[in-house]
Amino acid sequence: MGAAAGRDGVLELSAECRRVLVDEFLPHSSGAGGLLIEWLSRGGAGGATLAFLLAREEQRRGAAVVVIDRHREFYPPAAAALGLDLAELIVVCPGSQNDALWAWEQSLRSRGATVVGPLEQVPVHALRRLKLAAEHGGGLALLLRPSRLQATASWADLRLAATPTASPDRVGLCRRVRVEALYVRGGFDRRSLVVDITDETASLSLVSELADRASADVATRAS
Amino acid sequence: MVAACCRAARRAGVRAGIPLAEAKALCGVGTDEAALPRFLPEDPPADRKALQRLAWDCATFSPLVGIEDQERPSSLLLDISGCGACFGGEPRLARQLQESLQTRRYYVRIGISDTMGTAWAVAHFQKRSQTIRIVPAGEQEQVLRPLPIEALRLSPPAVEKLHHLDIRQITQLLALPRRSLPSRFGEELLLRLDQALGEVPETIVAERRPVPIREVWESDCPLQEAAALDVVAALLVERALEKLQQRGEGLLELHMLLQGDGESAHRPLSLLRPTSDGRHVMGLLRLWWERFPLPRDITRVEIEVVEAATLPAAQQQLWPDDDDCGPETHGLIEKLSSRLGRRAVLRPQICAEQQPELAFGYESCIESARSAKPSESEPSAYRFLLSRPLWLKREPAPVQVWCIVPDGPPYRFSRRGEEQTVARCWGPERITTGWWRGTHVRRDYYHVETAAGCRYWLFRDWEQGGWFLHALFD
Repeated sequence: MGAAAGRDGVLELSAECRRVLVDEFLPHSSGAGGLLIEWLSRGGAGGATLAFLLAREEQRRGAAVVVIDRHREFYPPAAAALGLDLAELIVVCPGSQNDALWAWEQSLRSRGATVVGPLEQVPVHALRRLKLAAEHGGGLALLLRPSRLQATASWADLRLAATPTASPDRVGLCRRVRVEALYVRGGFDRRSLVVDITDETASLSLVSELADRASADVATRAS
Repeated sequence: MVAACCRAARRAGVRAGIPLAEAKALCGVGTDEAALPRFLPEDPPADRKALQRLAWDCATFSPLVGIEDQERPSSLLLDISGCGACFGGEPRLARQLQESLQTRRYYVRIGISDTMGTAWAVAHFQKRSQTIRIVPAGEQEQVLRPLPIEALRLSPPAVEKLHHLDIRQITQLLALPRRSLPSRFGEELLLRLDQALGEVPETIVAERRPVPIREVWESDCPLQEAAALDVVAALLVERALEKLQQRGEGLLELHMLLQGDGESAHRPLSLLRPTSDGRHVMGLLRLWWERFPLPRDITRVEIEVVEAATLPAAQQQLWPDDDDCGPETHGLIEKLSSRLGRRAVLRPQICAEQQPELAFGYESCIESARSAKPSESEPSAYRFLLSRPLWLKREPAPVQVWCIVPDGPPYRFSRRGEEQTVARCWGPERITTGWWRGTHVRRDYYHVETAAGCRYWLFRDWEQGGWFLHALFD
């Protein structure tokens, strides 16, 4: 299993972040593109952080990362601290919902792009268009949506709910997030996993939920 | 190797020709005290292009402006014969020229003489404190004598040969028998000497601004349908691109103007890279008129090429290269910019600022791609940024906070009528900055985690008073 290592304050990730957060839920599409992934969470839960960690991994593989920021609230220093290369990041600030959907679609149609950003309630057919665009371009769409939209219909391949839980009793900035698959295309299990994101030591670890509460850091931290 | 450096770098000891690693060490890269210097790759074609634009703009001062004939030119040559009278004398002309270029942040040194060689020599080798030097008529030899031999624009091998013989000043050269110079040092030395003294004339090859390309369609029968506009625009674009191709250039920026029925619409179109692909240009133009209202009954369509650049050489391929992702991103940026505007498609940049909302800035992707890329910021610049949120509210929202001690951390806060109990809290992180801007900022930031596990970024504002929510750690 993958775990993270920290260096110079940048949240280092092993190449297995996608495997942990996506491929485990969608085994038949392991490594493939053309996916629409919804992250449903309430504010402050940590879902966006996990989505951007995935985006960073895709950027390392050579994908262009596009952030659709309609409300101009995206904070690039935090993305840089997560390890994204700002020189290769494109931030699009559309002025209206229609322009935002158009920007999503055009960006996903671009070969192999990873597109991430918040998306409020939109008609279902708009999500269908995004799904088709992602399939056409072979990229990854990471939609950050409020948890109140869980009950709405969606064309996403994977719907993940990020729920914060009480952080482990550790010194330092650390947060624990439960990631539950609400919907998996072609699957029926509602599986979940728990991850710890530790800011100060820049590590991401998978928490073992067997018996004991202590989390298991599966891989060692790089020096 | 360092090709050139600014004054601040020279003060630190950097010189042209030293290794880059040594330059970085001298500039203090990697230490916390130094400001981050910028290391840019040398780009001789871009430098020449910039010099060419300056030459075009200097036509205000002389009808004949050229660029020196060197491999890496850095000087402009102006024939100001008779032009001094228009400016109140040559000294005033020189001062106005200097001010005009200094407003563009160029460091300018000017030499004026009857001969090009002497003017070049005094511009390059006079005292640093003297940025304008006018050589009186007939005094070229007197002025040249104390200058080093490099002032004669000799090639490096010729200079090296003279140095080897310990000939370092022009006065030493003038002391040698003239007839012996070609046989000992080649024709170049005597030619340069004669050019500087006015014995051999020199010509300036003028740099002329290219005739702007403007294609116009006008008719008494107005265009009323988008399909008709499409046909006309495609024709004009094709003509413009043909003319550019004849110059070996591609389109970088054009302006399109549509007029009709008392109204007009104007749209600039910018590209990341020069192109001669009419279909691509038309695709971007269509994104504009499909979205924005156009004049009814269009009677005039005008396309003006604002900027062009040399087309890069590319090998033709029979089959597209699936591994090449570069042009796809460029096409995406151009498409997004065409419809949403240049100011909506951005590249973020980190600024050295403590105040969170000022710690970054944006540059349009198209401008960013055209300007030289700066070096990457050192990872240590992000050392304390790990605890920053991905989404920052544009305006901090006031919240009601309860603290156990008056100046202590929050233990409960109310947001949107909902009270939240703080389970864990980190801070304060004090940010005090901005006094030089006139608005002093003094804030104590706290990372706050509620019992439900949600993370908030609150701050107490010591200047305005009160508590504010700046972000959620999503």
